[in-house]
Amino acid sequence: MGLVRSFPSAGSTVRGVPVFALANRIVLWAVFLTLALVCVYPMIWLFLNAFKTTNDMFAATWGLPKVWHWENFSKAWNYGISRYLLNSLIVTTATVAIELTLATMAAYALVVLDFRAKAVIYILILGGAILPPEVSLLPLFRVMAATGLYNTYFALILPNVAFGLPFTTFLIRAYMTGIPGELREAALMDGAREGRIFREIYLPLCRPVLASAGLISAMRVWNEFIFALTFVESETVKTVTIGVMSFAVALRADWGVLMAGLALSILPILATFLVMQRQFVGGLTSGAVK
Amino acid sequence: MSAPMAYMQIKGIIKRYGAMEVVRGIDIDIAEREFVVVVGPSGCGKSTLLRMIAGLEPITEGDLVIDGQRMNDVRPAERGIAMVFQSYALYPHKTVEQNMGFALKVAKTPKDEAARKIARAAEILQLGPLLKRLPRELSGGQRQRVAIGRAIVRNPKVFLFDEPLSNLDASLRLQMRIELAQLHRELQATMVYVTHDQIEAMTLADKIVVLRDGLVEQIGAPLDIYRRPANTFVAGFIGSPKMNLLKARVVTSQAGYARVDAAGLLCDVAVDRVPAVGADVTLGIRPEHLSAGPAACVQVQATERLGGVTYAYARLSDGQPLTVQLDGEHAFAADGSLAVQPQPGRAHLFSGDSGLRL
Repeated sequence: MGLVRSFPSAGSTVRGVPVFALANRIVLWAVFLTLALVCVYPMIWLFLNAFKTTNDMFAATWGLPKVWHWENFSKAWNYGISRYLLNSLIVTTATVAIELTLATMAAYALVVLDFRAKAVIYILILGGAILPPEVSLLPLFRVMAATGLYNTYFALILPNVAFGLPFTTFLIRAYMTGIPGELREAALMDGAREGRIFREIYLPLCRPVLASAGLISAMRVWNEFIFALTFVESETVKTVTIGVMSFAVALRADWGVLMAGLALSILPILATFLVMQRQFVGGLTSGAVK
Repeated sequence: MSAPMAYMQIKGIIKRYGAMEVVRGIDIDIAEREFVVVVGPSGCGKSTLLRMIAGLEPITEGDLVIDGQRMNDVRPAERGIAMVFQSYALYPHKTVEQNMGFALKVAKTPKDEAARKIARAAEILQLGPLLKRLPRELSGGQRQRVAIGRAIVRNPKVFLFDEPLSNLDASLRLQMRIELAQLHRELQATMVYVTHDQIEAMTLADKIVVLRDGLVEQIGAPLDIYRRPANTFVAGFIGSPKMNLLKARVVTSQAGYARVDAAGLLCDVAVDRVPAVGADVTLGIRPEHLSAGPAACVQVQATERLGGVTYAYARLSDGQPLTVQLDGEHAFAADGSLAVQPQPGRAHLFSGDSGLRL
């Protein structure tokens, strides 16, 4: 009873904010903060330990480094991670560029043009999303070997594009359906043909969804493992996911450098996400509410 | 700045979507410089007709002729037509200037000539200070002007307007109506304007085309249609408030004249086709053509006092509704009764069966 009596009445306020609303806010903050910590703590742990020696790390895994060993990063860089990063950058950039180009054109055709079997073609494109990449590894491996693509950048770019296209097309198509058809009609009246309408009207208007789709695709390709493991073996083509694996085996004795290498491997995609997060959220939510 | 003149012929145009016929054979002749307003209720096919003229919808049957040339298979941009859309359809990422100049850019018009045309259109529409703004930074009326400006810079033979004022509030609509009429006078262009608002039709048109269910009900000058509606549909559609259409019976008739009785309201009507005595007919009287008088006594159910006029919503003795427009602030008897009579020569008579004018 005493406990109940000690609660303020419904009408009380703290600095003008009703107690009920304040309690609500505190609970919400606590929940979101916990969720954020759960998501972020592996990264904090990784970056903290990237500055430590192996002994420091095992002595105080959650503590701040006693001495900040910046040289861990240069060691990791010189150990070969720079090459893997460059390869990942090439594969990711090329995949995203090809995927967005094809998906945007496919989405435009599916939204704007009138042709036979449009619905069937759309379903077939979406059907590609159902196929797990693992199922097609062996046939793809044979195709790569037969066409001489094995151990080249294309061995990673082409399958990544193929498996990314369904979702990217779906996302961009959904966004494009929200663009009023009258804009295309106005452009037709202005004398523009489909190519120009696509380039000058639809593409600029699709910028938010292109940012979202590009980012999703980039994260997928950057972290892709199975194709990278199966279709390339040369050090000159290996991407960062596979590179880091061999890096980890070689550097088992030097955890600080290993952590620095891992930190470097996620840095580009993390930076891209942070820079583009506003566009990313905008692209995913625009059109949801008029 | 005057537009190239053009006449247009719409010959037996039909539009089908599968088995559904939404435009069912329309013939309209539009003279050079004429302002034609196509009016009708929602779903009557007026926007489809406009889109067929623009080339945005294929014509299923019939011919569209502009200046003697059949245009059915000509691309929209090559028909010499510009269209102002209901939603304005401004490119959201382009400035006012870029919106107006897009057609010129596509046509590879030299830059100085394009700039001159844009400046001229901006001057006509008072858009000069807004040229660098994006559409989202404009008010509804300004957007409407940009949409019109985009049409003007193309110097088209024919302007098409698809309910261009329907997104504006009442006062802006009135202002834009006046501006559109001025624009027509200034440009001397052939214009086809689609609306469901009969006030826009009456105030803007040289010629009104009334559509219903994909068919033309009547074509004529606004006041001709107001004075001599071809049938009960047109009679009810043109004019505000709506014409009273009362079930009546012919009491006496002779050449060019019939006397009818609508639940005690006796009325003499001039007719072209004399109905038989005792025939069921529809008597049409506009609210503004009824005045206080001894012809019939009606019961007033509700009133609207607008200051300049008073509308009385009444019922005849058999319950048929009757709207009466009275000048000034009118007072009514305590029991709600009102004695009314039709003004001489202002009533209309329609066949009770077909609804056609007698």
